[in-house]
Amino acid sequence: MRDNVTDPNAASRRDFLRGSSVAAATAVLTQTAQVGMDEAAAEALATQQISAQSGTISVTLQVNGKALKTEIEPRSTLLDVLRHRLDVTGPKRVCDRGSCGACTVILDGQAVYSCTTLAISSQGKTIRTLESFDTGEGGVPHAFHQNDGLMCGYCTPGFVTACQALLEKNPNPTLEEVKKGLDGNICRCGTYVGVIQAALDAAKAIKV
Amino acid sequence: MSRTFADAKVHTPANLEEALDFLANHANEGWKPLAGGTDALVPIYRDGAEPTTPWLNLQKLRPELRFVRRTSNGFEIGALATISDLMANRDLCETYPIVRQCCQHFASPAIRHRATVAGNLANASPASDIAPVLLALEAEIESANHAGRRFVTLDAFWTGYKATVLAPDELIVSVRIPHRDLAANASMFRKVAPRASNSIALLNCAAIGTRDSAGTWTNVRIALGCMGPVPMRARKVESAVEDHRFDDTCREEAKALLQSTLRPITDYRATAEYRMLAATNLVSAFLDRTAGNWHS
Repeated sequence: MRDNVTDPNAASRRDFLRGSSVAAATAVLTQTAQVGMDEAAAEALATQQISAQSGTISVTLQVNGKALKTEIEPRSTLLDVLRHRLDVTGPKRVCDRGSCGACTVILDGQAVYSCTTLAISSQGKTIRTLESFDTGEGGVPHAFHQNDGLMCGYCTPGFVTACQALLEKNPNPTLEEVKKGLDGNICRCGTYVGVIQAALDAAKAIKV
Repeated sequence: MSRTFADAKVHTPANLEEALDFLANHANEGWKPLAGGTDALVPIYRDGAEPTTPWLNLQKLRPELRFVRRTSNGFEIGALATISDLMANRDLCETYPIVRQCCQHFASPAIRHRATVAGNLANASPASDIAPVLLALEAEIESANHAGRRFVTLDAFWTGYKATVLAPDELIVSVRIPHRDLAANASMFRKVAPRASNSIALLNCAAIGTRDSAGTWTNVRIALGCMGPVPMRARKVESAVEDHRFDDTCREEAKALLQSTLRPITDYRATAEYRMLAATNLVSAFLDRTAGNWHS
């Protein structure tokens, strides 16, 4: 999505947050130095940090057509690795227990919840998130925009992804099939009417 | 927000043989098989709880164990076949329409793409949606350890709430549906839940049988979930209606027998009274069926 920012000088919200957290960390470090950490404690802290990383392994994930390599703990979920390691922030963490659909990604052509999928089990598979979708007039994101398929927008990446996966399998869904296909996603604002219309419109646009 | 589980162990064996050898050598270390992970991974990450279970990740066993096929004896469902794989198998779904009905009510598409049939059974929840269907079809579990394989019928598979006969060194290899119901002309799956998708059942019911033109039932099998610590067959009701017309006398008898069999509990999903009433109504509705309304 950030590729769409036209002004090269415009800072994204995420970059801003990252910048401010570095500033905060620097402040803490400076403070520690001022208080004066004794050498043994500093060494203990360093050892602890090393052991916290000792359980990591190297993985390569195929995300949106690119091979991305990173170090992760074996138990990391695909959602955590995408968001925190690979900076792919389209999938959202909401319920974190496989109920709401905000973290939906397309794994080997099938919509899955990335919050209950291990990253190590996703190696060698094709992972697609909404960052890779066509944002032009024929695409699913455009149909959501045209149909007010969102209010607060937090569930939207999941809905767009579930919709894309549905239309790739069934380019001509009935209203009932759209409802069944998207029933693993929840919108707390309740904008389902717009979402369903967006899915039907996107299906029409794809056919044209 | 980023959580670290540096000590959390995950082992990913390359094939079934390696997995079984690993379990044989580490039988007392608490390793738990991880298939789809749609339920297993939830309590681990929820609310930042510390993970304690070491996982035996079965992902690489998919080439060996992900299949649904017809054999001369019945259908074989590999341990890593997903709920979507069941739905995609037209032969199975047309032979037993309750399989498709159940899968359509199973969670949501994203869960069905990951959740496995065997994992759903091994999880041993009384609220499993696929369990009553496989109970009604008299499925068997084929399991293996490093020394060999064994079969256990599904109704002997669960030993209590969230407990199975599987030993710590044992894995499910396949689930088998015998060719016992090919002549059945009536079947039903019903799930009572607050939402159509991603809901855990308050109760569920699967039933299959044959009703002749005179209205007499044969080979009736009825299974229910959430009506006790494990999914269960209503055997007393089955024998009471076998070779009988389902008339008013039979209905009252079946109702009394059903209520003496079931042991529902009251929890935050529903009261025991509600569950008993709904279960009785579902079973009666099935047995009342007449021509034109056989499979739904």
